[in-house]
Amino acid sequence: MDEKNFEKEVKEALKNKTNHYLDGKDEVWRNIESRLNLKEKSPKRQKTTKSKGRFVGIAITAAVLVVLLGFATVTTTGQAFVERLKQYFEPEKNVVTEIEGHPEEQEVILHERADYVIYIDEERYKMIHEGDKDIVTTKEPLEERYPEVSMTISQVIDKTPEQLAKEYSEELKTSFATVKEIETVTEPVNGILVSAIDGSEWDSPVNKIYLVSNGNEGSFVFDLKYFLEAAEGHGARFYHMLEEFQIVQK
Amino acid sequence: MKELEIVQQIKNGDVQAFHDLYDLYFEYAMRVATVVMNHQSSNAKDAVQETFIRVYQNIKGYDTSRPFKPWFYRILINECHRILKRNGKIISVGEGFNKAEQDELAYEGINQFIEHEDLYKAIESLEHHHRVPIVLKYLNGFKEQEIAEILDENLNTIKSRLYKGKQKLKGLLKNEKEGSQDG
Repeated sequence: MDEKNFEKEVKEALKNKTNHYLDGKDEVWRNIESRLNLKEKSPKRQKTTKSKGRFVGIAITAAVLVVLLGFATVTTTGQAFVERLKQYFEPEKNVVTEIEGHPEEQEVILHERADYVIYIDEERYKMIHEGDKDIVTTKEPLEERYPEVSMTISQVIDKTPEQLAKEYSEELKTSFATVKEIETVTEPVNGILVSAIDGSEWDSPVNKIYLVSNGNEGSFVFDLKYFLEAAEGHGARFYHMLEEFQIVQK
Repeated sequence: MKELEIVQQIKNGDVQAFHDLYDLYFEYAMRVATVVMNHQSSNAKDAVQETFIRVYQNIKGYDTSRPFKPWFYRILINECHRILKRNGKIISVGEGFNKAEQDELAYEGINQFIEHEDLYKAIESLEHHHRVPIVLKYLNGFKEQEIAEILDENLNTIKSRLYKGKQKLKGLLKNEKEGSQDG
């Protein structure tokens, strides 16, 4: 077989043997359309900010999850179903966030835990697991002169966000100069925020605790620690990670 | 509509243009993913799906002065590798092929299928790093420089892999023929 014939035969073989796999075009498109929320993207909506577009997408994903998870809980294959559901989350994606007044594109990586998923900017942070807690902290250790920078995620299964808010507020009052009033928030999560700051220096410790219902009797706790000067850096990045948080119920 | 116009319209937020791109690219993206993913159909679909999603999400960052097709296929190959790596099966060969093979034999022209049987088996049996450049060159018609860019490899590495891949294919076919003559 000469060279030209050989190349032609290779092409024919590749085409011939992959013809069978071309079905599913519509199915794949429907998945793409759903994931990117394309049906919602009318010309008017395209003018919304990227962040809000993402929020709409997440809200719809969450709504789908609620319906599907309701189904999952009454089937014997519920856990497998949940595992399949997790596949709907992209393993990694790029998000644009505003950090210190400038747009910043980050590649964020999906972290799947037993009961939730979250995206982490792995260029700067890592997630470590200590007992029942997951701690997101800087990839490179900070110098000693900086106060702690971390976001600890945990779940308290027998206390509501309201109950925990009171407890944390009291606890923070023992070590922080200023503890703000407990407030209800809708961003970055739907929940309750307890926040405290200890001074007004560049390195004054800041503690923000977001409390989110776990859908049952308990709460997810997001304990954000950083310092005043890092509010628009680490603080903003933790905030954006929280925007991507999703509960995956068993 | 030309490809560049389509891409420009997607950049401007035109969802219909994105659908046009999907129509234009789905078939060959699926063919390539199928071979790269060793005929694991659902994984190939996942790779194609994730590729289009990534393309849509990152199209604003795409430089229109550069050719679009290699950019697209670079994302596709990366997605294939990511899924293979996740499944821990980057170099398994032919998995999932038997059922597809049987189905195809049942439903399609048997003669045409058999005609390419040896050659395709030989392609399938190539090592991953030889098979992927072969697919990109012969199925998609990419130039060596473009393949190097898609796979993020040195041009000489790609030339060498294509050469060795071809030699192996010819060798495998020759052995196959000799084997069948002996038998």
